[in-house]
Amino acid sequence: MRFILGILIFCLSVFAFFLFEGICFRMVEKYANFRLESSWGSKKSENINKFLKILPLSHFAKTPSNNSEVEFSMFKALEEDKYACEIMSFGRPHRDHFIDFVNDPEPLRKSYRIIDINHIRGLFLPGLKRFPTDEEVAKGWAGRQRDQMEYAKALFVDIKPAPLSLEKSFSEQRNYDFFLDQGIACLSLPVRSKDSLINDLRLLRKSYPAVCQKIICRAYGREAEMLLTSCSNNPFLVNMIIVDSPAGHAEVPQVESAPWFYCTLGEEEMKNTALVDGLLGWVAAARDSNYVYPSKIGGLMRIRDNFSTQSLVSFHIPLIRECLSFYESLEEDKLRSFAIKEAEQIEPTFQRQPKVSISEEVPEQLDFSTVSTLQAELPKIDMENSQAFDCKMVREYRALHADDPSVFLANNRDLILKIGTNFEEMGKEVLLEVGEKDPLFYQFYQSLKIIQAQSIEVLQVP
Amino acid sequence: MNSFSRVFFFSLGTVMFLVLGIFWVGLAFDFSALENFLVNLCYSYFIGFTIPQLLGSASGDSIVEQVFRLKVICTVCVVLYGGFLFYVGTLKSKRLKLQCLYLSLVIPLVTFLSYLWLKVIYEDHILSRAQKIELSQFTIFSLVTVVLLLLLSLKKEKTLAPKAVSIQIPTADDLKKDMQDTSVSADVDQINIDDDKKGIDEELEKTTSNEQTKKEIINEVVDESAGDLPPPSGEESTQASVADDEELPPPSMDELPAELAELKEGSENNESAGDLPSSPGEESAQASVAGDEELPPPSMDELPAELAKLKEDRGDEDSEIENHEIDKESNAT
Repeated sequence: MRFILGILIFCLSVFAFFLFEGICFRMVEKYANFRLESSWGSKKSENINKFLKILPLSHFAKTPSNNSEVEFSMFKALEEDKYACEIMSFGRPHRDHFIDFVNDPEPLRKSYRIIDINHIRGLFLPGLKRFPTDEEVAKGWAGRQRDQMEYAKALFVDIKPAPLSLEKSFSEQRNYDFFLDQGIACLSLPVRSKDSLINDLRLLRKSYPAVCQKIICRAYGREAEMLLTSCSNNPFLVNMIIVDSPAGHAEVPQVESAPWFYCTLGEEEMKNTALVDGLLGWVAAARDSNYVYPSKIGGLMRIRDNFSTQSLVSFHIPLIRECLSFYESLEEDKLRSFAIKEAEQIEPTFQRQPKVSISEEVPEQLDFSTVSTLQAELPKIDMENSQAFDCKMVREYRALHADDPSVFLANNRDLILKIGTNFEEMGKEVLLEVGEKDPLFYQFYQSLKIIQAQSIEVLQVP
Repeated sequence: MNSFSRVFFFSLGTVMFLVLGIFWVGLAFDFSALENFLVNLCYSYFIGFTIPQLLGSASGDSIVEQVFRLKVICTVCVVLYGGFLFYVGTLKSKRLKLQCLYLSLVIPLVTFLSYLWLKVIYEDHILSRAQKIELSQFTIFSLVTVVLLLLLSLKKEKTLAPKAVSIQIPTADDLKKDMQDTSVSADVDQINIDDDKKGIDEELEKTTSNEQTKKEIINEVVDESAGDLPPPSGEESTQASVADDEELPPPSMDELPAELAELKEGSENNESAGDLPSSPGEESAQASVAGDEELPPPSMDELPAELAKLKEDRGDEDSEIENHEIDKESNAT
């Protein structure tokens, strides 16, 4: 009895400690950053902490792009969303702070200097000043070393559709206040075309090099597409790209040290598989780095739903902070490289995939939230094979043919197609009955059948 | 006959089941107030989560699903607590009943608190300042309640003796005090002996009388303590030392110091001189001492007439008894 009581007390103590550590990580920003740095090392580190890796910490979540077996972009996007949520858990105390700052009903607003550069109007400067270095004087950023020069940690460019009203909403202004408070200059930039955007960014860099050393661009919808197109050819222009529901996408920049990338997609946009694939390519390219920080959080994707929309308002805040501190550490040693990547390094998964660019081609019954819910309801088992297209029917089939090595080696996707075809040959009613029994299997089969038919069509076209 | 607590718990359990019945009947007949209550509960927020979300509902669930979940959880809770109250009613000891009640509050509260914190820790949910205050208030209230209930459940019942009995029982301090008083008086007597060498006889008598009183007191104390309480270890040692003092043989003449040896010799001489004719002063003193111990019976003349008559009658009876006993002895021989 005493032994059992002792074990019970020990378990409770461990649980209490575990809970306390979790509370500290969730609530205390300094501790969250400390745990992050302990796990990933310094900003320039290339190896994670091998001792802490043993622990089940969120910092060591497996990146979805490494899992090449997941072939369907929707599932990849869902995995990316889950991964982003987990890997960025360290930023929640900072996001809490941001939300409090933005929602403060009676804020103590500081006054900041606002300047115009040619046609670009309303550049907010944080008011940071320092003496220039010899190099900066030589470059012509400052007249002489004794003259103080205005600088900023970065420039946040909010790309808006033209024409733009200079009046800002309260929440937008508070967003800017937060950035300015952190030493980041802010600008609302109206854009008509990708060329004008590139020109404006170049002008800013030229006019205020100490302010625009690092540029973070954010855009929505059509402007987001323009931003992606601009950065595809000029990746060195910006350090970080934030896009919300872009109307389209562009080719991924084929350079080393691509800009950091963060995108959000609505549930409706998820049906546009071409867009999802394209954005996933950007995400993968941004994460393709030898350094730990960009390889983990350099490229992230989130999916918006009714509940998460509010919480995603602040998701980019800790990401911007980490991005800036990473590039600051690189600047010290001038490590950022824009060398062209070799052909072998291009992510092959997205290139090979048959593109299904028209959203109407996705079956109506394929409800993504239902699929994810049904998958979540499945009992978790350790599988050596792919977890994509995992459903009850496949599991039963595998269990029945446990001795067959061909079944063991086959993908879930192939098995679904094989089983579904067999059922369909027996009659559509049989397939519908099976669909009632396992709706997840039915949905998988229907979607895979369409994709297979499209890929055959693509191959037949010369 | 049922105890009051049993009746209380049984009736409380019954009331809970009745409330459950009324709840479902109300819902079946579409009582708008009850429906509105559940719907409003779905739109109420606690630390940024709606109540159904806190109870496990997904963010994408419809309002109908959320209301149904609330109904089910409400039903399960009421059924479990109703059944539990019936069970508590069957328990015999009052202490066990209270412990069960405390734990029935502590365990769900701790579980819910842990669940809430785990939800906050693992979900991508941003807390504003007001929500943090809400969460901390709930946590503090829960922890204080849990600690209080645990303390109450661990509290032991005390058995109280009546005051009159506790007053009558002498404490160990009282007994020690008595012993010290007696020993102090003995010491004072001993000092008087040393100081006053001349009046040695009187002093010896005094010391003997003091020893007698001391023994009597000790015997009384021991009797009292033995009768009421088991003696403490200190008392046992004092009793043992007293007994040892009684049994020790008197010191020999060689062991005594010269003055005491002289005194002792003098006292022995006095005793031996008791056989010899003594001085008139000493005789009167001895007579007075002996008179205190064994006074001669008054003569017939000194007695009043009635007592003299009674004595005469008694004397006859005694002589008859003596004669009768002498006869018996002679017959036996």
